[in-house]
Amino acid sequence: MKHFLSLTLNLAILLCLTGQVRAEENKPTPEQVAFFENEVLGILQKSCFRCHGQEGKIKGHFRITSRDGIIKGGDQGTAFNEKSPEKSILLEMISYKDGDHEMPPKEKLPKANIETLSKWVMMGLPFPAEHEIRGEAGQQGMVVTDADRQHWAFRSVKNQPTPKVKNSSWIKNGIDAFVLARLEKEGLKPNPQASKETLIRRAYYDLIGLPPNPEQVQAFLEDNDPKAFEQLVDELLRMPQYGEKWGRHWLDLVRYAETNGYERDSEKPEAWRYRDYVIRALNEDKPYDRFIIEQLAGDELPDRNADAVIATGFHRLGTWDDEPADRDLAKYDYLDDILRASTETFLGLTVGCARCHDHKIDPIPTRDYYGFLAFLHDISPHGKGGTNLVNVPAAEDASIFQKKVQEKQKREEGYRRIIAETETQFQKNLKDKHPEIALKVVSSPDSQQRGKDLYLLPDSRTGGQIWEYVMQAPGDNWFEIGFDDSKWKKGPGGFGSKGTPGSHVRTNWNTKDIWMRKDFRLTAIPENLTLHIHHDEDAEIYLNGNLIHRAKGHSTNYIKINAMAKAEFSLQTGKNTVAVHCRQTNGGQYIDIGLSTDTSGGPDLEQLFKKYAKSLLPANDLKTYKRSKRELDASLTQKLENKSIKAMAVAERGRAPVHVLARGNPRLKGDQVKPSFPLVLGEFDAQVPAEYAINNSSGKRRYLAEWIANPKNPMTSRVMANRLWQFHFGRGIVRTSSDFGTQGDKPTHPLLLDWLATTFVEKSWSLKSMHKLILMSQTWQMASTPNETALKKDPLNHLFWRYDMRRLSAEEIRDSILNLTGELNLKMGGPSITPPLPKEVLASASRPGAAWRGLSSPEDSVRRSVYVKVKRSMKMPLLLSHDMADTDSPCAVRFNTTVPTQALTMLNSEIINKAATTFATRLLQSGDNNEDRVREAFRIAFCRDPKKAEIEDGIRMIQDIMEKGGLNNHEALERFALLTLNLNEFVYLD
Amino acid sequence: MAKQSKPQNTFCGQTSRRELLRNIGGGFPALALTGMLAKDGFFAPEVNAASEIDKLQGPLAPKKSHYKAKAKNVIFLFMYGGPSHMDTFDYKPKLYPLDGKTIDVKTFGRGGKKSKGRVVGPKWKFNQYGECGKHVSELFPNVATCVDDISFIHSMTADSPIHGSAMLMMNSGSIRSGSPALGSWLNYGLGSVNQNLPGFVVMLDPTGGPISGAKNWSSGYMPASYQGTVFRSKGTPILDLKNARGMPQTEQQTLLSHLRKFNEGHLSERYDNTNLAARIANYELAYRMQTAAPEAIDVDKEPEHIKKLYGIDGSRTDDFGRKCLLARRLVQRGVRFTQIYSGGNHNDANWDAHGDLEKNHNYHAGNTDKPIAGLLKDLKQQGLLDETLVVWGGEFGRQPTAEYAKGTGRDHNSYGFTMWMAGGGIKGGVSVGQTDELGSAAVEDRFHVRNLHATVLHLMGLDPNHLSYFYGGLDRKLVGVEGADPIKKIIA
Repeated sequence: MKHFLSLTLNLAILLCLTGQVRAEENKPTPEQVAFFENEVLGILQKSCFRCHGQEGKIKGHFRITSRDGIIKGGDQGTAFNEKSPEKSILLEMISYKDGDHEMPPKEKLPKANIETLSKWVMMGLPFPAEHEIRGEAGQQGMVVTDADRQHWAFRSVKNQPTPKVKNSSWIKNGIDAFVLARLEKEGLKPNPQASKETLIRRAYYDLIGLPPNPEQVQAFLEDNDPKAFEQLVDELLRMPQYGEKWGRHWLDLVRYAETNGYERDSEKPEAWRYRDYVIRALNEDKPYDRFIIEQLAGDELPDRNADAVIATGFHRLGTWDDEPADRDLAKYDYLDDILRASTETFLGLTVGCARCHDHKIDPIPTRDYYGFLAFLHDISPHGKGGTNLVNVPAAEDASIFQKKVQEKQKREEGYRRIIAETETQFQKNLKDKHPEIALKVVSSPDSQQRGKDLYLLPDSRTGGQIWEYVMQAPGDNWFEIGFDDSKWKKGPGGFGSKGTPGSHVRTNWNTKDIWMRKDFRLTAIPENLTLHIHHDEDAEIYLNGNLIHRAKGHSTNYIKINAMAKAEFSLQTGKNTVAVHCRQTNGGQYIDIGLSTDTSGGPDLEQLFKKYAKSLLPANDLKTYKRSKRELDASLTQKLENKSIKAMAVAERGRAPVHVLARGNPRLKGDQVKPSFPLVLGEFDAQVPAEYAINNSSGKRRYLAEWIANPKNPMTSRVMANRLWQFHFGRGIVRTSSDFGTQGDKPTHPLLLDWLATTFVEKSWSLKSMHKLILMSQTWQMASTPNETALKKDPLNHLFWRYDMRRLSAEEIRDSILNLTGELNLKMGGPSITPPLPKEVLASASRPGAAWRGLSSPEDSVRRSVYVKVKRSMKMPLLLSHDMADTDSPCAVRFNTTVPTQALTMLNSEIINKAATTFATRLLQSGDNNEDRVREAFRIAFCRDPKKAEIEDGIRMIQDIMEKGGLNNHEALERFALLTLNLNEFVYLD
Repeated sequence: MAKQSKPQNTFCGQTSRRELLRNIGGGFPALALTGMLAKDGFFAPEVNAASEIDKLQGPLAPKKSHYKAKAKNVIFLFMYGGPSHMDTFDYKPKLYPLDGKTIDVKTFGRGGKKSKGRVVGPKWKFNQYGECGKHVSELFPNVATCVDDISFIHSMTADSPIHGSAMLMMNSGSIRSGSPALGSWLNYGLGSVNQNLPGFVVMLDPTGGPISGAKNWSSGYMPASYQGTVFRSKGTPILDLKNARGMPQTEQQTLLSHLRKFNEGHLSERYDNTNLAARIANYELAYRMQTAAPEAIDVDKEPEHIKKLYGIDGSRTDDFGRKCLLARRLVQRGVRFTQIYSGGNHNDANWDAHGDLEKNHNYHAGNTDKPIAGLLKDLKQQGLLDETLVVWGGEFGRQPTAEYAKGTGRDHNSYGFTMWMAGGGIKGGVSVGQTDELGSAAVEDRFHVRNLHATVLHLMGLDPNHLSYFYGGLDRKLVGVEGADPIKKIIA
């Protein structure tokens, strides 16, 4: 901030020296008053007052309606430079000198006005008191008080005794005591217990997201053991499908998606491993405190294992703009996303609201936001492709693996040497025997046209192009189009050490790595693209941010590579950016590339070799050459596996100071802050122990995670206990389950919530114990039927006098359909599936052909919905219309809408009609008459036997449609199957 | 708890929309039905029997505006890719003679920030039109005849000169992904007066959607009920409108009547659950939609002279012309917000003229000029223009200088560009704001995309600084936390 001069020390001296402005002589002269009133005031009133002091608005914390206000200044510091008034920020802004701060923003003031204001500033800002509008000025920080800490959610969790009730026989466990006590107080009776048929369907969906099959229902109905239900619950909790159902709830909360969003919506490679981690963690009943710590800081744990590192993918799941308009701001947007996901999910606090200003309602000052941000601030930036992948600790001994790699390299070098020597010999012989051909190969070095190759980007053989390059590791996004390479060195390619075979060195390069960037332009997209590359050694070539070629080892001359397949979707008219990274370990070194199009003519070495090798080389040499080529190819394709896996995970880089940013603007740096916790949760000193530092990480996140996962944290156990309740009962005890602040809803059963939170911690944060506790309660086992008295008194069921009916979630609907047709494939884990999507949906993408690539096989397409690829810009209509979570932000409560497009999808879509056909075939096999088939349909779809009247209705429907539609029985059965899928009972649970 | 006295699942008696949205927990219950087309007898009487659905309330139920609206519907003609303002509506006579000269000028586009560039003189001549004498280039000879109905805003600015974030900004007011689109806000604020058609319709270019696809019409943090529905001007207009197995109507009716019977049996023991009733009603609505939507897109029913007016004649204007005429038909049927994309996919398939400016703009202007003029004239002659706000523009404009050493291509420009509006309470023959002599940046009366959004909301009877949706701890607004005022100078 170059304008921000420290005035305080020198002010007094300067004032005396200049004599222009004296603090004690602020009273303007009559001439000054006249000048102000006649000329200045009008301008200020018209163009400045509205946003800076009048009507309570003080944008940028700057008040221009009083002299004090101007001197005090706003986010940019004092607006008045007393030492050199002509340098006052006020004048700089109104004269539009700084592109980021032009005032007034709507348009520049007329020249005369600027002159008037300049004159006024030079006078020393005479401001007659009677025209001043005073009031609160500047940056008054929010003060967090003890009163703020009295909000129910910020107080520590208290172990609540279970209340006494009259009807104690109703009580099965502590939950019931709290619920019944309230009901009795309000004079309400709880609903009776639900039927066994209802309970088994409810329990299945509740715990594994799938219905029981008719045999399972039958067995449960016939089991008269009083422990039958408990055994059922235990069995369900042991099923791996439990993790899939409850994992989906968690994925909503952490904004899980497998692409980055924005223009290219590019892949987050290996993101699915995080999804599998969540499912695995739940199935293992990983204690919730450990679950939190692993996601926030698994990489920093001394006992970290593969899962702990994969868990930190949590940080990488949000949206990320690969080509942002403002890079500084984008950095903070990225961190903001992580902060919001962390605070809302784990703490139920909307700290994110305090990014630009103190929280409007909750006692969270902006300083708290940046204090929290400081825990996350050193997370390395996001990048495309493999940027954020880390190797998860290998199982195999590293030294053995290293040896294998070296042997392989040595072998390949041998082959390369033979190949290079033979080719050199061949070229020499060719030149001797057929000078006319050899000439063609070298071609004219100055032209951009070589043979029939049009060089879009000439390489060093044809004159060399100026590249931007660095030899020190640049930022993570160095290969992106928008990366700022203006500070890079410039020099002509190729780069390398003189004497490297086949090289045309124009700029010396003799360090280990080099990164190069070059822009070229296209007026049209070429039909083909050839990459000419000479590399020594490994190199990666990016075009417009996408990897188009990875070169392994070294070449001895320029080779041609057909790059079109990889580059097709990256090429664009206008500016294109090529970015190259080359690595060197020993020996000669060189890197140069060119791009050309239309390679139809011009003999290349390979062609010439085919034609003349036999006549120009000894037979033995040729044989050795061919074998070496074969062996090299084979060796290059053979990948050495060290059994390590790559995971998208968090990493830290550097230690940068963190500042409070005024209005969230990264260029308005305020006070420096250290990692700290929100003040309202107590004034803890965040002293990260030195031993927490590990590898490149500071250990800050571990410290944060341990604070969150501490049983004494008043938010954590409450927030999670409430979420569990929400996903079992359809709504939380606190309905705003990610906002426990003062503007969130109050708990309907505060004592119950505290009791649950205490129990949760007592049970070692075991989710499965909590599930069982809830399912074994009488409260959960109540029927959902209406009761007139209760409906009148408590229509919204605030008091839990019944179990609320619920519609199945989007995923449950799709899974149930697949289950009903018998096609559901219960294969678990692995990369996501991409079942076919309607062509209309694909057509809405900007690259209709590339939006949903690699359709899954028919068997994979019928796996559970939790495995369907989560692409931010493209969603499956069936899931989308049934309120699947939006992934751009954490989703704590899903919407539950009822709209006609759902009916259109359920009735007309191809996926549903196919399912109906398959279901009908299944029904057909279940019996030789329609009565049996209708009965079977009810058993499968609704987990119950139909009533007599329902069977009759079903048979009548089949007959009716046969008559009216002129269909045969099988066809009519397909319509009945379609009807079954569309019934309310199929998608609603009692 | 005060809330207990309220009847279940209706939002009557709620004091504010915020409260309404906070109470969802279990979610939005249902829908409303005031389908004006139903009154016109469009639907099969068998299914259109009076039913309980008329009483239900839901996310798209019509709501009162904040104050009297000047416009009832919006048609947003989105020139995706960013049309060049100095080659279309922003006349820059001093730019012609500079052609080929390298000058000092600050620009920021895909190629980064630059302070120098080679001027590409405007490639088309400008002529004056209308009583207002507006200069319009040869690219839009037909739209030029409508200038007396149009207000031009020459001083638009946006936060990003990069397609991805700029598209999100123009559509949702934020460069960050995840906010609801303008059409979502309107439907959230006003509801829909025709439940038989979607309230927010999007029509895409034949070459594909714009970049980021569905994110451009997403409802973000609002329920999916408010998202845009992609409408096709030919064939089946809406996804899954037609039965995949081609079920004939009688058969479908039979199926639906049995469906209803079964569902009513199920409902009888759960009579208090309005979600179940709403779902029953939805099958009727879906059925009506199957008739209403194909009827709406049946552009061929229009008289020949109308089709001709829009350029629906098998030529290059046919596609966009159909969409414009369809937009008018949707307006007549109460569709609140219709967005038509000119251009799709990438590169020269849209207005993104990095290479050959002339070829690109001749192509896209040639496809759309006549249809757009046809739309304005037709709306006017049918008396619909007064209530229909037409918005024209892209996500940004283009730079006065060339992107590279050779060629006429211009890079993106969010420092200054032109958009125009017509009808729906907009003054005619007015131009506000100015860019500098080069067209490189807005210098006079600068307006932000937020001002444009504020203007649209205001004309639709919604106070842009009060229309809010509570989410993630904040009252979110289309115009952002700081708010924005409508562009008063263009409001009649």
